[in-house]
Amino acid sequence: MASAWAATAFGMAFAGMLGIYLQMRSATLADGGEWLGDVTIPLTPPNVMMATLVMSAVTAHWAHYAIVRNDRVNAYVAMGLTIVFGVAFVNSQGFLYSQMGLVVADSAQAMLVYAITGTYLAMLGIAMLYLAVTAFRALGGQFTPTQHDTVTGAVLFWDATVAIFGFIWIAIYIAK
Amino acid sequence: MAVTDTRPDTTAEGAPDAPATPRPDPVVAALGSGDHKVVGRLYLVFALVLALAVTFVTTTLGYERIDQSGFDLYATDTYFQVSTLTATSTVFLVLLRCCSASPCTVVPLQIELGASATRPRRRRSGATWSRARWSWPATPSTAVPAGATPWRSTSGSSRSASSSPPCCWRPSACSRRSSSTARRMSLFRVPLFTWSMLVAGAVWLLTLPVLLGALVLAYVDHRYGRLVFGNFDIWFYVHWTLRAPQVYAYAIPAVGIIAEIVAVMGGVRQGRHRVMMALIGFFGAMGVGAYTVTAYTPGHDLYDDWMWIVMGIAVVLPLLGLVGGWADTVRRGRPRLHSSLLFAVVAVLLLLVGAVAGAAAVIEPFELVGTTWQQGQAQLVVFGTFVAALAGIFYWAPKIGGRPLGEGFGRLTALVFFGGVLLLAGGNLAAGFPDQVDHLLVSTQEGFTGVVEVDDTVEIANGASMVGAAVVTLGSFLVLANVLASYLGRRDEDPGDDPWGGHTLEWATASPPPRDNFDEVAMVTSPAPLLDEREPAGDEEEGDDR
Repeated sequence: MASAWAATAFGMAFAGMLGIYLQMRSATLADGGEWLGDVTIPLTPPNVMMATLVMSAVTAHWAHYAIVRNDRVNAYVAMGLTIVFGVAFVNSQGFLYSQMGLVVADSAQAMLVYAITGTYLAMLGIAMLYLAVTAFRALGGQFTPTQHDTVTGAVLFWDATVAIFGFIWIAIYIAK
Repeated sequence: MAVTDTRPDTTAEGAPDAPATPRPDPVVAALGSGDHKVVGRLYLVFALVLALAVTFVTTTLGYERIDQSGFDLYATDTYFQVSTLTATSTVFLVLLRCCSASPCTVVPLQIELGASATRPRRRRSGATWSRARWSWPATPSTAVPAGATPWRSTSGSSRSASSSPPCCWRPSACSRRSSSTARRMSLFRVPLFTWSMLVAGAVWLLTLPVLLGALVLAYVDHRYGRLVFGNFDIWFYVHWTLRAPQVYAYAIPAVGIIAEIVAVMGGVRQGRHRVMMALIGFFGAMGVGAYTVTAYTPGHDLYDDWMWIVMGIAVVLPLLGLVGGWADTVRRGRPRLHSSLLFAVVAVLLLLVGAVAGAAAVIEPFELVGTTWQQGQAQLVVFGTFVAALAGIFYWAPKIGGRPLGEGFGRLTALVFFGGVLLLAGGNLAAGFPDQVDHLLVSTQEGFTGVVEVDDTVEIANGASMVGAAVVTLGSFLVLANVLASYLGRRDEDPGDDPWGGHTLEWATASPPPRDNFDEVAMVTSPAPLLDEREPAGDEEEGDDR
């Protein structure tokens, strides 16, 4: 329950940030201006990042499926893979930052993009930490097929993290 | 070598007795406690002290605003920084904290949560200290011209900690499978106060993170050149939290507190329990104002926003329904004029007037948007909620501190608050009709020097508002003095565990409750289990409560 509400709270925070971002973008375009101007954000890295997170959602649910059936080896592998996908996402985001050609202090658009994506990285870090702690507790022998609320909470929070990036992907990288 | 020896019997005759566990220092025990009751008391103390400070500063600001020909007490920049500080502190440091004091203590008792629920208590303790730690730097940081950056960081931390208590007691209120809760306790049998806190927690968790998101953007912008919000525009993205409809989200606990007090002081069961729950839920839904995060920005006409107009008018409906339910309860019973009931009546009147003023604000021909009318309307709702929170403190004082608060003192304080808030908010309402602009919105214009031309009528209204702020400050002092005198003074008589004839489970245990709250788990068959023991439920309530 607490994980669900925390995920909802994060979702609302990003809804606020994206709302402000889209409102400013809309006002700029309505005035006849260009939002990102000459800046070109390559599409491939964000698409790969989205696909990576979708795969990580599958592995997260694989971990939950395994723990429900008391298949601990699969649960460990799945949780580990999910965290690896998270690390891969962070690596991709760093690469995208280097390719975007945006400097944070150069324009309002750059500041907004870095603020939103940077905050998302923080949320992803929290999700990875939550999953890592859950994995260590599973390795320590906790969680049974009937009592695995922490795993459920971690997977639910991971799902929310993936869903939120979907909105960021569309609002920032697709719409541009 | 295998360890197979049996340990010597340490309790054998002649062996020394185990040393008694030393009692912890009271201050250390309070600061490090995970007991929800201790945390509730800490919330109460912090809230009352901060209320006194904030209302005093509000009085000084009211003095500056009387004629607006210049600034006597503050420098121009400092005045606006302190104005935003008091506006946000009133809600986030005083009101939400005061609204957390009673729930922290009472909600686990109302659902008979036993000692096994320790994990939520540690988070509540952490939330208390996180908010306490971050509120102090916020105060002096706005007194210097470059104070905006520290204000943003500390207020953001304070607001993030504000959402932490709902995360703690909401799982408790939602849980029906815990073996330490009352048997047969269901969601439809929780007391109205617990239900209102459930609704409030949900609404706060849905809306306040939007503010946090805006503050994150503001902080990054301020750090890297102020390209988006500049020096002033961030106020438009914070302003919505202090205006309708979001301001009604803070009033949700108030209706729950009033519902509890009216039924008990009336001496009768609250009728139509599920209808009252639905009305509280509807009222809570009308407080979801996060969609207005961009609505107060320049160039955006609020009168084009149909949702804002509909919610501004619709919020009156559940409030009227609740008032009708309470009036029916009072009509059927024999009300006792206890100070908590007096506070509750004052709160109801202020909330009703505030809701009607909010409905008037959405009527376009009146042109009240951007004027001090909106400020006065918000003050009615905010201070009405504060008065309701004080009603809860007076009502649950035996559970919070072990003894009731001073009764005569309490009645006087209720009347002081009634007059003070009416003057404070009424002055702003009266000044708003001749279109006195909301001071902080005007201040965002480039080249603004702090001087605004006002006529004599507006000056008189502003003066009344200042007097009202001073009276509210006096009321805050009276409450704090009452609390300190009652809890630190000599105990003359034992009022008993249930001095009011309560209906709900918190009155089934000692005052104050022991560490583990309850010795045995009760069987609950209605939202008023103690009243069931004294009298059977009437036929008309059976369908609602079972």
